[in-house]
Amino acid sequence: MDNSLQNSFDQWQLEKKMKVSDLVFTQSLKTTFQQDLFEKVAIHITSLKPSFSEGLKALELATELILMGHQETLFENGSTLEACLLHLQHLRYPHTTSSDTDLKTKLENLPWPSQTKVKFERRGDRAGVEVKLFISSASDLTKIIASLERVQIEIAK
Amino acid sequence: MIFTNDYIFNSLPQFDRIEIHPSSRDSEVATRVRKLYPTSIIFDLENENDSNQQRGTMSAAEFSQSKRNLLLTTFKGQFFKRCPGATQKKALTCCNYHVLNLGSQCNMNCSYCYLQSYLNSKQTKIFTNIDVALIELKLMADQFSEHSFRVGTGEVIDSLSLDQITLYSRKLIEFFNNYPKWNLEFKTKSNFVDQFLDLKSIGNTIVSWSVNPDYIISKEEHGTANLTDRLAAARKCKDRGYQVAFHIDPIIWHTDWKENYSLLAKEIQKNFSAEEVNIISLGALRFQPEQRHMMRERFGMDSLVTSSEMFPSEGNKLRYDAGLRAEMFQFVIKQFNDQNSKWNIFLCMETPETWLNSFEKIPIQMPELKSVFKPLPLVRDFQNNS
Repeated sequence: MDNSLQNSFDQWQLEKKMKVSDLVFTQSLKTTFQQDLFEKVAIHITSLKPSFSEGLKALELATELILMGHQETLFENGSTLEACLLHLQHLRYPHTTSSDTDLKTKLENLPWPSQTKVKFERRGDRAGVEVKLFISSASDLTKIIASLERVQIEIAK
Repeated sequence: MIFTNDYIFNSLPQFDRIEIHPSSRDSEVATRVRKLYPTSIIFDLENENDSNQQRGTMSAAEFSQSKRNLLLTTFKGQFFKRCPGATQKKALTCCNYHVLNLGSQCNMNCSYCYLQSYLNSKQTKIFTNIDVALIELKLMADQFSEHSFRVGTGEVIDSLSLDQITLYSRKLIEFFNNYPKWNLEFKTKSNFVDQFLDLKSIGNTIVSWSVNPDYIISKEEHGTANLTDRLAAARKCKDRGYQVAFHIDPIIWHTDWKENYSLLAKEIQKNFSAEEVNIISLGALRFQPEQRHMMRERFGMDSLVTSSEMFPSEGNKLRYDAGLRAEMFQFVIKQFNDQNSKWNIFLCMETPETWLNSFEKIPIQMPELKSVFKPLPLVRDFQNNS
């Protein structure tokens, strides 16, 4: 088959050696409209060159969003793969996105010890911060513990 | 029509086809099925391989149809087992529940049902050899009669929704009357209790209901009894000397969840005092990741379950955000504790972290729950010894 005649979704499936069972979630798309819309979204997503797992995740999110009634919104903020994935996640998980944003602001603004690297993360069903500290002396440690106690008081409020 | 002589008090479960395996041909259940259902849908299998059933992964349509095809057969494995929660002791805090499986599949149709990722048989099964199950149970009960085992029959089949066909509740209640320290628990979403209410229980049979607000029942628990009917059935059981329990499980997030779960708590409190209810267990929506495809295909994305915001958790199940779970548990617990601190509440299949966030304790630190969570002899120890 001449690859130039294929769209990006067909090419991506070929490259990633996709099996029918990998796309099992598409079975819930029952109408021609839903299937056509999926094809368009899939072409858009795969044109951004996702890996196998990134692509599958995005395509399943897109399937669910189509079933939830989304149409044009699926194509917004999709200039890069990262932006596209983030956009689909936000559409699919609006409440969690909103509460994570609030939690991120709260946690990042706590009185962490100076020079601490604080990074908000969602790990599965838990959201929190990864904290990196650098300690070079016992007195460093004393100061950090004191700061962390202030953080603990703030978190408990 | 009510045939009280036959213990038929409600409409019969509907089936398109009923097959009777040769090993079940002369069983009490087969005799009863022949009496209750038209001959045109009953098929006696000539040999073991004649069954219409095939095993293997089911499509969404096949799963739905499996609720309409009944097979009466005998079970050749071990009837009595520990609850699956016990196999995830590292991840979950488990309450020592044991299960006695006398069939598989359910004639009701809840969108979140875990059987969608569990069953691989294309028929609803009733195991007709309950006599063998009771022998197995007797061996265990005789050896550990002083331990407080809790045995439930509602793991892979609703305990009572098919009970008008089997009348197994009657045999089990009578069996457990011989073992006062052991507890039998029926778990149901039906209101089918009249078929055993004439029996005397010595007080160790707990009839329990999985309950949810009517809004959730109508959206997600298709073919089940409404909340009023479930609570009325529970009241009847309590009045006849049976213990009752409620499982507010799964708690499902929706826009008006606080209002609806508050109303649910009030409905329970209107019908029962804290002292009258054995236990209230709470669980939040959870399911195996692989189940999502079948649920999506069977219930679309209008369902509060398929459209829920779920994340992988310890133990691999998909769950709500841990913070949201703790908030929901704390809220429901408060609805009960504000009315009376004597309600006996615990969490089902939850992590120790969620226990701490909800109660500030783990069960073994709670005197009222200590007996439920106290380690018991293992079934496999018994099997190795016997």
